[in-house]
Amino acid sequence: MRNVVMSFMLALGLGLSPSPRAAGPAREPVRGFVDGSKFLDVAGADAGTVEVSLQGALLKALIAADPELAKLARGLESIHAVIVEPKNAEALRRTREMAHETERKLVAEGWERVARIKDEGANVAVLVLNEGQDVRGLVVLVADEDQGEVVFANVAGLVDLAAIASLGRQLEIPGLERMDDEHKD
Amino acid sequence: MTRPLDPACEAVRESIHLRLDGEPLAEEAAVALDTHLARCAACRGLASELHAIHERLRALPELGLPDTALQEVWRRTASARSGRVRWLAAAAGIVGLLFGGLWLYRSGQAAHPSPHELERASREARMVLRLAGQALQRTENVAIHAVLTEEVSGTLRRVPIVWPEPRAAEERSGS
Repeated sequence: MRNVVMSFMLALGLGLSPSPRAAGPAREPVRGFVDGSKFLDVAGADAGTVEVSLQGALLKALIAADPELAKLARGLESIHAVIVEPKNAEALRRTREMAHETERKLVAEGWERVARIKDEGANVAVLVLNEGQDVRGLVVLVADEDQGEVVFANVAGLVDLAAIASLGRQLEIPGLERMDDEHKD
Repeated sequence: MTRPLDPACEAVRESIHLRLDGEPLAEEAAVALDTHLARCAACRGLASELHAIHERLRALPELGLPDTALQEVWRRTASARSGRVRWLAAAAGIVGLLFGGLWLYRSGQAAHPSPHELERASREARMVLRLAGQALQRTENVAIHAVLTEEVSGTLRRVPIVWPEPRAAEERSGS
């Protein structure tokens, strides 16, 4: 009887305890945060995926420990990205459609589309959420047909667009560097 | 063999007890009781006997219960609780401690990530920010176009515009 009770207590305690994933952005949304985990669902179980979700105490500790990064991320409350590489055409089509739907939904919610860039191999959409003179959220959606991947990136908080843009000039990101300077809007 | 009680006597017996207990009687009931007692020796005798018992009981000294007796009652009551209740109480306490401990432990982990966690988080943060930065860099072309066509939004004004290299500019002007 005692073993049963102890097992029950242990299971209950573990079940009720907050997990790091459960304490992620979905539970504590900040203004400007957009959940990109839905891309993981539509891309299929066999898709190649990369998910980054930094916020709260970890992000604060990171900013405190990395002065260089702090220049870019001091006001940020969340750094979030999902990169999926579906393994079949249907999953890729669903994922691209999800990207378009996300873009439409954000615009409908008051986000401003600052750029929609199309080239031969990829579509890039950049959206920002303004609050007065501040930018509270940034979303980047990249649907790369050549590579068969979709990239969703979101930073939330007090976003310094100039600082982040300057970082983009320093290093090229695989996938994005393939886009030439010409844009077709 | 007990003789059946007279209905008139039975009707006033309750009133006799109520009066002894100090309960108020309705005026009609009080008059009926006094009238009956005046002419019924049996009921009068009963009322006198009950009154005497009542008075003797009131004359008895009050006996206080010793503290040890109360403690003994409490001890026996507590020890008589079922083992299940005690186990549930203990389980609730331990679950609370377990839950609180794990929460504190995990909170501490998040508040004080290890160097390895910080290093990984730094790489991830830079990757996302650079990716966003590259996309913003691409918007510069859009911004240039918007400036030239005087269609600049408030947001685009905050995006730093880096004009293309001369070669690229020449190619652009030539196209």
